[in-house]
Amino acid sequence: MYLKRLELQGFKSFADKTVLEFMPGITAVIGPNGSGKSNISDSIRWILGEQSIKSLRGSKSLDIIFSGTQNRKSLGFAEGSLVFDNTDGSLPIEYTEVTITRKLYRSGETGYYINKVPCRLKDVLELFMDTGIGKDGYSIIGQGKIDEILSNKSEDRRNIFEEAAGIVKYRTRKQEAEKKLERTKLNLLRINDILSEIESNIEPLKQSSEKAKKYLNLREELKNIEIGLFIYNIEKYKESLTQIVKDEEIFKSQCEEEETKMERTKALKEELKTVIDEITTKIEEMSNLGFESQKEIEMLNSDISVAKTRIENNNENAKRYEKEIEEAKEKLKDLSEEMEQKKQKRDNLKENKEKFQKELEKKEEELKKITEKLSEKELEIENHKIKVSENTDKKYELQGKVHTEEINFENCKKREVQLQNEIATNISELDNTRMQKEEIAKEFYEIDSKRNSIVKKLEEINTKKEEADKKIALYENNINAYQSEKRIKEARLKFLEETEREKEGYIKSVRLLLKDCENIKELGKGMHGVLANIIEVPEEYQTAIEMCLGASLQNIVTETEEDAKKLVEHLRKNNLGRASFLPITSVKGKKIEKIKGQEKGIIGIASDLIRYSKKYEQIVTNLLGRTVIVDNMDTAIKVAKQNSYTFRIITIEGDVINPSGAITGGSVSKKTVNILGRGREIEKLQKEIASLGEKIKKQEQEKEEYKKSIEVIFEEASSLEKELQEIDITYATEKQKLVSVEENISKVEQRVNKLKEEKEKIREEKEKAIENKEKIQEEISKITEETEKLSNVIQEFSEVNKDNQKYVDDLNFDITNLKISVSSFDESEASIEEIQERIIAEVNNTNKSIENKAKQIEKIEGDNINLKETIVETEEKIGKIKEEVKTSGSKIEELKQERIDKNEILKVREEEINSKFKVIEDLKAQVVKIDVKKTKIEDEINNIINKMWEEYELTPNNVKEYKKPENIQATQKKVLTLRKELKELRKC
Amino acid sequence: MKERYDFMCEQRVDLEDTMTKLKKIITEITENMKEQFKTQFELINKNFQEVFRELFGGGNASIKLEDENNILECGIDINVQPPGKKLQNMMLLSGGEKAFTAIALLFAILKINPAPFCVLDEIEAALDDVNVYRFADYLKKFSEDTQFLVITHRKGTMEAADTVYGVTMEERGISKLLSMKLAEMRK
Repeated sequence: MYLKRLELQGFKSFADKTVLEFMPGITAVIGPNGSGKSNISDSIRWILGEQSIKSLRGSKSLDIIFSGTQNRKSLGFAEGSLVFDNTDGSLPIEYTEVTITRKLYRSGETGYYINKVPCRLKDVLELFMDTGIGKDGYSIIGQGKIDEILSNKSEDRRNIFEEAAGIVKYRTRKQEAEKKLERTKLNLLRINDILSEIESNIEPLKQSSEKAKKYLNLREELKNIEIGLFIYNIEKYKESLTQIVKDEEIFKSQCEEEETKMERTKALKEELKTVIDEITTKIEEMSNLGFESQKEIEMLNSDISVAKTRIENNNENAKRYEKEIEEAKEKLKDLSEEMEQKKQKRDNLKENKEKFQKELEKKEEELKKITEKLSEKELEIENHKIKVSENTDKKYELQGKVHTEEINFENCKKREVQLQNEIATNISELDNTRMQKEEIAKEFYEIDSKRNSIVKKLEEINTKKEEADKKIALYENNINAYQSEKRIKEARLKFLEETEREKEGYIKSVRLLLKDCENIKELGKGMHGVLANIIEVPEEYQTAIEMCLGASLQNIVTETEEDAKKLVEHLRKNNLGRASFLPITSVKGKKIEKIKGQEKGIIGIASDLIRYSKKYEQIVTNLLGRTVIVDNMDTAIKVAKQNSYTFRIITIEGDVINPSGAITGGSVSKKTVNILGRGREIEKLQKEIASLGEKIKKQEQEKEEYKKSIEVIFEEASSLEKELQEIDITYATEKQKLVSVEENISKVEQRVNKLKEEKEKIREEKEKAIENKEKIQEEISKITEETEKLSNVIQEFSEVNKDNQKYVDDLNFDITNLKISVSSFDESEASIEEIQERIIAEVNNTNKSIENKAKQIEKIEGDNINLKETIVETEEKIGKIKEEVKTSGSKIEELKQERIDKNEILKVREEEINSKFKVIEDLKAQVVKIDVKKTKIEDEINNIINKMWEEYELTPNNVKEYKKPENIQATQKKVLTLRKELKELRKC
Repeated sequence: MKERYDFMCEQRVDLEDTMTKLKKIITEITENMKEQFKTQFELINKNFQEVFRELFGGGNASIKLEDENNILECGIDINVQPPGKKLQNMMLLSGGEKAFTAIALLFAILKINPAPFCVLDEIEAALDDVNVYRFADYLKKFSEDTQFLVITHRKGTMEAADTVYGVTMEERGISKLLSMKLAEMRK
């Protein structure tokens, strides 16, 4: 199955009938946006039963139909057909071609057709079920469909998969079955309801049946009476109805009559109108005809004048052609004369040429004979001549060779002599050089030995020198060491002197006092200095003594109490602070007499261990006379115990046991400024520095002396070095000389060898040259002999042949002359021929042109005859037209008169019609009135009939057995009473 | 009254009979549908993977039923993995990839159950040129079994077509058809 064709008409933008033919394969539809491409796919979906207008891009179903444009009216219906080829029978229908059509009318009617047969939508859908074609399937993928396949709601995708899986058929069938089931269920329910109702109603019904019987009887009575009444009413109404109908008919017939009359008048009027119109058009036509005729006449006239001018032109042309023909004829005559002349000339030429040719042939034959005779001998001689010339050439060549060989030989000889000389000089040079070399070698060896001895001496001296240098360095090292030591000591000394001068380390009052004493002589008198400066403590006891004396170290020693007083006053006066004073005159000390115990560690009494001048004895004893110095704390404790704490004990490290038993000790901070040792240290340093200075001096002296002692060696070394340098220079030059001489010798030797070789070669060459020369000379003599023989033969022959030769030459000369004249004849003949051909061609051309012109003339004459005829015809035409115009003018007048008459008649007719129209209107109004009445009565009748049906289910046709009442009013009353009774019955 | 009662009773029996019959039919149909849908679905899945790989030049794709127990009602998930990207849901793809995936699915379905003809309305508009040519090649491949009517703006697709119709709007609001049979022109 495949899609053959799609036909659309009135579908959306396809207003006209459009047919798309499809072939198997791919069909593309292209076009700009909005051109209606997608309407094609919409249409296919629509035809296949699409119900959703929204998916066809419309808002209501009528949007499908072409809705018109500015220039086009909208259409009344839309139609689309799909034509399938079903030759393979894949559609379940027995046609080879299936057409599905859907139509939609503007009225909203819609219809489906299969092969033009109307059918239901369901039929169409079933036809394509599970082919993939349905409207929900995957065969029509619209622009939004892709989105739908991929839509968020995965349920939406099902349709396509179901169609693909082919289960749509089942689904519809299932739905149908489900619907049926639902219906059946409903039916069952209803039946059950009814059954239960019936069951419950059976008993009460029996009871009320009696009451019902009574009711029924009453009802029957009422029925009889009322129906009679109804019948009566109906008949009454019917009578009046017939009357009305009659009236109506009368009016109607009247109306119709009038109308027919009016119609007739109208027809007449129309006829008149058309007649008038015809007349008007005729008039117009005729006046138009007048105009056109005038125009035609003008045109015809211009045609005539054109024809006339053409005839004149033609005549002129004909004359010209005739003249030209005559000229051509004359030319022809000239040409034929010329031709005759040329012919004669040519004949003459031919005769002359023949004569010359005959002569030429004769001469050539003669020449041939002679040359044949001569040729044999001549050939031989010719060969000889060639041989002779060849021989002479060869001889010259060989002689040249001989000459070169001679030159070669000479050259070789010269070169040999030269070489001999050269060799001799070289050998003598060689001897000289060798002698020179021996001399140089002698000198060189002398210098060499001298140099060696110097080098040895130098080495010895150098070792000595090195030793001396070492010793000097040793001295210098010593000096440096002493100097650096001295420098350190000097720095220390300087520092100490500075502190002493500034009295650093003393408490403020003491320091200021000491300074003042130095400055003021009066004050310083009687003051001996600080205690620390007065005593001299050996280094090992320094700490112990310092600890022992403590602040007393800074006590100031004075001569008398007066002095002390003076100083105290000074302190007070200047507000310098406090200080302690030890006047020599007043301070007295007491020494320990004996130390109990024989402990090893006891060093001695402190006052005995320090040095001081005699005058300070009392002061020192006072301060240190009762103090014992021991080596360590253990000893100190033992001693203290043994002596029962009668004196102070102090260890070398400075720990103290007082007579009270109290022990003071611990570490002692090292002070930079040591008051106690300061003076002593300064002295010591000064001594040391002096001794170091002496030592340095001594070392330097020794060094100088040593230097002097070794100066000789240095001098000797430098002189030796100088000597060596000089010798080295001569040594190098001599060595260089020797080498160059040796090189010279080898060079000269090589040269001599080479020269000797060359000499040998040249000798060989020389011999060869001589040999060659002899050979060539032999050849030359042979060639000369031969040449002489040959030239003799030639001489003889040339004398015999002299006469013959001259004759031949003459003949040759004649022949060439003759040949030239013959060829000149040929040339002139050819030129004449050319001229003749040219003349013939010209004659032909002239003949042709004459013919052409004659033809032309003929043509012109024919043309002229034609033109004249047409002129005559045209003039006749003009005459006719003029007459026509005249007659039509009078006719127009007649027609106009006729038109006026007819118009008057027309007016009369129209008045008639108007009056008739009014009458008809009146009549119609009457008819309408009657009609209203009629419908009223008919309504009444119908009411009654309806009532009859409602109350008793009877129609007027089956009430014949009921009688009409006699007394209407009484009957009506009876009806009312019966109704009341029935109502009451119904209540209970 | 009695007659009516008897008649009704008879009817009831009849109706009950029909109902049981209908129920049986429905269950039968449902079973059939389930089976067919399942097998076809598997086939589509297999083909979809193949077609997807051919069109995208690699990658992976599959369709899946959301609820295996309710085959006939549940939704269908599409999972794709374009070459070089990780497996992701359809919604995370770019527009072109989406369209191309849908095309792959369409071709997969056509492969199993070729429709006699198929109308494609600008479904390849979002593709790039290379993919349009791939699409066109595929169309050609399928055009033996299925007749295609493609509405298109793309050159690649037009080149593949045997017949080309042009739609114009010379007169406002009215479409006109021009026919060009390329296959004949090529001859």
